[in-house]
Amino acid sequence: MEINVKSEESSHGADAQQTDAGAGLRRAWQALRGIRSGPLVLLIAAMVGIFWVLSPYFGTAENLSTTALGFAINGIVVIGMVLTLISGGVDLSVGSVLAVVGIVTARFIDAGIGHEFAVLIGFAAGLLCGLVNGLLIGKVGLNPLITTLGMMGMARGASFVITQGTSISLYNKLSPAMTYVGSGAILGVPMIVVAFLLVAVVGDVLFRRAGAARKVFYLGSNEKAAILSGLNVGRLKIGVYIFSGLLAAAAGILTICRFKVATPLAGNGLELTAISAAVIGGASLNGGEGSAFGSALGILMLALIRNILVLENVSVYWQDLIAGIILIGAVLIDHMSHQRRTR
Amino acid sequence: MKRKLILVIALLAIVGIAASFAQKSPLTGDKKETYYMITFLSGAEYWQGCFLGFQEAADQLGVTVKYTGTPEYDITKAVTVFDQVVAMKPAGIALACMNPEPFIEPINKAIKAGIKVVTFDTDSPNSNRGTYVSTDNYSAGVSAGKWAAQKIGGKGAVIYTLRPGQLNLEQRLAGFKAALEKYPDIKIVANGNGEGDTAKAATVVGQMLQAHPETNFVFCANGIEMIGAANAVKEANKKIPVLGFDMDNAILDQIKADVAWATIAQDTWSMGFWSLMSMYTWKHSLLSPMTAWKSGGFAPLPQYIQTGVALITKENTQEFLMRPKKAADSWGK
Repeated sequence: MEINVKSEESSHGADAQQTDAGAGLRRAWQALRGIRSGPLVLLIAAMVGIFWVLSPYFGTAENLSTTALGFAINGIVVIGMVLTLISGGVDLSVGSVLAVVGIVTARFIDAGIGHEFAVLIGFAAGLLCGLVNGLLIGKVGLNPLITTLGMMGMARGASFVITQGTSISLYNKLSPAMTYVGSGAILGVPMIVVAFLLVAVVGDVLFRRAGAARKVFYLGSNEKAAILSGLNVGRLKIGVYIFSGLLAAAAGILTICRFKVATPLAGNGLELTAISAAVIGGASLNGGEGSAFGSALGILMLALIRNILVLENVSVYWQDLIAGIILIGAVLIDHMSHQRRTR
Repeated sequence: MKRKLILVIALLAIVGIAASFAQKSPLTGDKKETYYMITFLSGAEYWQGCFLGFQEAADQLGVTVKYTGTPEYDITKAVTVFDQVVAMKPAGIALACMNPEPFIEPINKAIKAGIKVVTFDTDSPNSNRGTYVSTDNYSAGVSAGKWAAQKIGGKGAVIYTLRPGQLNLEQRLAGFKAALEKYPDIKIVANGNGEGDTAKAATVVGQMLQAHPETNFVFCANGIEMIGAANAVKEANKKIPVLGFDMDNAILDQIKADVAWATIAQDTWSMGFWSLMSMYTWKHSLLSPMTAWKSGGFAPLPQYIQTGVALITKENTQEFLMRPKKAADSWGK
């Protein structure tokens, strides 16, 4: 509000050009406020500005590309997670599915069965996990939290059983295509980051345009109404968890491409990071709300916070505490800005 | 003529010696020269010992050291933090590799950029790291197996806890089991997942003791689980020796109080000290083991610096008590 008043005053007294600029800024501000993720964009912009001043290393191409690489794979998982949240559920199994898909794929590569085939089997494993989640939640009617918690244990356990606790090294065993996906770059942007951007953009368009996605929003905001209006809720839910499982599978395969090793502990704790990112990005734990774009911003923000803590060499004992405070602060700002808008 | 020559040579020698005295020792560094120590599960008491050695070497050399890492056991985060530190272009990085393969390319890239990287505690053997400063986990496990066999007189039933997927623990266990294979009268009767947690280790050990009352030895591949295991033995009113790994004051207290029998300690101070010394001497080209190491692309350091292990029992705990903890205070700002 204050900003509007000030720019109004200055535009009255100044020449025509300045008035144009003031009006443009004001329009941009209104537009930003208009979209759901507007406040988050501003918040991140402010963070980038502050971090840039704080650390001479923050703005370097190397640091930015490294930070992007650090969250890109997790970001792909977040896009799947947010759809489960929108549907009124949650998928706690994403981190474990990431691990087991990596392990299964690596096992088949190790067996010399052909890389493309191994990757296909990896995706099939992810699909299977999602399908089981979806059937139990959508058809049987089990609680999503408990069902996916069970799948989290099963997938992690399967990783341990297959590997007997050790890692599967793929050094010099990846195909050129997989190596390129894992460590190559287009115009200086790492392939993994490109993959994340692709998933985020396609996800955002799908979530907003596709009929099925709109049904998921409807289902999440009022399940009873959705059932009464004749939606096949069970099938929708199966689709949602398969989507999440497939994206976790993609993340698992990208992880082994990047690190050239499959470890049974990969993706440990990822589910909480993914939920945080989705909620920062405007998803509601009660369902019916959330966006791919916002979730991508959420995971970006979490990565930026971690980055500045490292660059400023903040004591490791303080890191979690500070990251937690900033997280709650960000969610609070977002929450309040929306409250004001809806008032 | 001859005498003149001798005089000139003598004079030159004196000037040379004087000049060399006036020259700064190459072991005097610059405060602007910064070395990082990066670990996974950052903040654990174990790393404090490492950083103490790192810090004391830095004080002697007059360079700056910093500590950072990831509190989680998460490889993506670990590599990201390493890359972010590399982006700041420090003089060197001593790295504890959570997992060997993922660090190969990041380490090689850093070294190409002129940053001296050595590994300590856990290695990435296929990378171009300058050296690896550590206890070899496998042979430490072998020592553990031998000490265990001695303690129970070469026969009995052994149980152990493990945390699947944590590489250094797996290596210790592999060594432990290999050593026990030489004793036909010792059987490993059970193992359980301690999950790197005191309470969970206590529960699982308690259950194993129920199922196998003949147990006469308990082994834990890390200290956190060992505290739980020792308490489970005590709660079961049994007198069974418990052997653990690692050392901190809580573990030493358990041994002093006779709750646990012994622990195997790694020389963490030496890991930190020799990591920094390695990087510094490498950085300042103070080593010339072969004339062409630079053009040949070798690091001039020994490939592996073995820091060794010690068995700590009630008799010698005093000698291992940790020094006043200034290490933790110098971590970060």
